[in-house]
Amino acid sequence: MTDPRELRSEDGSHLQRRTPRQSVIVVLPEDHVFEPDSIAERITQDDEVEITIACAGKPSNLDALKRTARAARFLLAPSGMSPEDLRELAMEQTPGDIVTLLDPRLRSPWPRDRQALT
Amino acid sequence: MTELPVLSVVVPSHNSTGTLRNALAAIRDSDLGSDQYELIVVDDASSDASATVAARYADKVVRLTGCRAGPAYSRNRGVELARGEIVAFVNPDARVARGTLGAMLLFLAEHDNVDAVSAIRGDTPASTNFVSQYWNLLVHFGERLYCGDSADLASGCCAVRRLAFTGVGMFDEWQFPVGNLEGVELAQRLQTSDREVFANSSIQVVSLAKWTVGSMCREIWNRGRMLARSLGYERTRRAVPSEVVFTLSRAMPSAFAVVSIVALSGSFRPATSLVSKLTLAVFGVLVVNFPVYEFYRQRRGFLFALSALPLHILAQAVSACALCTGWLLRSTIGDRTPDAATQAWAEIGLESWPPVPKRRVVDGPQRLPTSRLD
Repeated sequence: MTDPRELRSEDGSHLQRRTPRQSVIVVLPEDHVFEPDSIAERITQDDEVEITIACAGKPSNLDALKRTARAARFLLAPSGMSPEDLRELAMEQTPGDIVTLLDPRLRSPWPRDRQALT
Repeated sequence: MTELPVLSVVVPSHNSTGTLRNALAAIRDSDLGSDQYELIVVDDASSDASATVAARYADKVVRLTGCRAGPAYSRNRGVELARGEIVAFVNPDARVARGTLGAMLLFLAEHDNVDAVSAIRGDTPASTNFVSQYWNLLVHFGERLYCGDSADLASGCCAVRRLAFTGVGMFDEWQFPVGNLEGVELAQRLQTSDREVFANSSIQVVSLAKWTVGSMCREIWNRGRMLARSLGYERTRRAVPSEVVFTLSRAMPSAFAVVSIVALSGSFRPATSLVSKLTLAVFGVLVVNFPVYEFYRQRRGFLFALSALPLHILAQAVSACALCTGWLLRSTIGDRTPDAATQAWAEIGLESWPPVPKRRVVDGPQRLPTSRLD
């Protein structure tokens, strides 16, 4: 089925999107303690947004997060990877045109983003 | 204590991994808390790893695909996503000091009548090669000389109230696909809308770019040509004298006058040798450029000032040629416009990503950016 957000040229070769693909990357450093429900609430409000949750190692409540954020893609990086490298790795694997990075180390000015990672 | 509004920092980037990491790290190292600003990087169709590098530091990364659309277009896309009351534009080759962003924010918070504030280039660039030192000092000289009111909104690092910015139609992405003159044009538009633009010499940034003779001449050529063609030299001269092309060209009329007098006198004395005439001509150029050379001597010493002489004459010659070419193009062809395909897409009003460059509405209600991406 044709995606209504995509435009195709007459010969069908060139494909252009009407709207940008939006992605959210949630960066979860190894030692970060998070509340799965608050993250799930923040990232599942728009079903057109592609979500990647990038973790270093295996956070203790990862299984709970997997259950609550079913639509998310999980990127499990080796233990010990720095948050910066984790962000870079997730970015390389995210196709979005507009990519929002949520990182608990950086306290966001926007309350909704801040609450999600506490 | 003045309560500071939230700031959105927009950094456009095109194949700039060489300096982007330093520029973004400096922003993150700022004395503003991360809850006082958001960092948006707009990657303008880079073929290198700019977007990946940006992801290490940014809150939001915008990836533009296809052809390069230019810094004006990229900054406008960043502002469409910005949520801060104030928007700061930082170039990917500019390193802010720890207090730069906070100082700009505080300045705007304390001066209700000012809508945009611009930092100036510091006198010491990151690159130590001679051309970078010369060019950086020249830009610093011009910006310092003309700072205050009626200044260029230097696109290296500046901050503007978001509503004022969108109210005057944002950067002119239609006319300025390359170069750095969109800041000059925007400042002029802000000023004609009775909004104040201020260049603050106490707020400075360090240039991370490495200049060569070739890249410097290209920059002068592009700026000069676009300045004369798209803005009209005299019109802009009145509004924003700090642009580096003005710094280069301000001495030109008097230099030409001196050289003409020398040449005219020489024509009545056939015995005078060519060397004497050339010496007199160089002397004339030296006299009219004395403030610049004196500035170089004070900052880097006599030898540096002496070495800068041929480079400065070359820069002035390129600037003069570029301005003349721009005037000719303006008179014969008119303002620069995008290619026919872009104009056609804009005419149809095609909704696509990345969006077709928007034509700025002149003398009419300004179109505000859509908030659908918020």
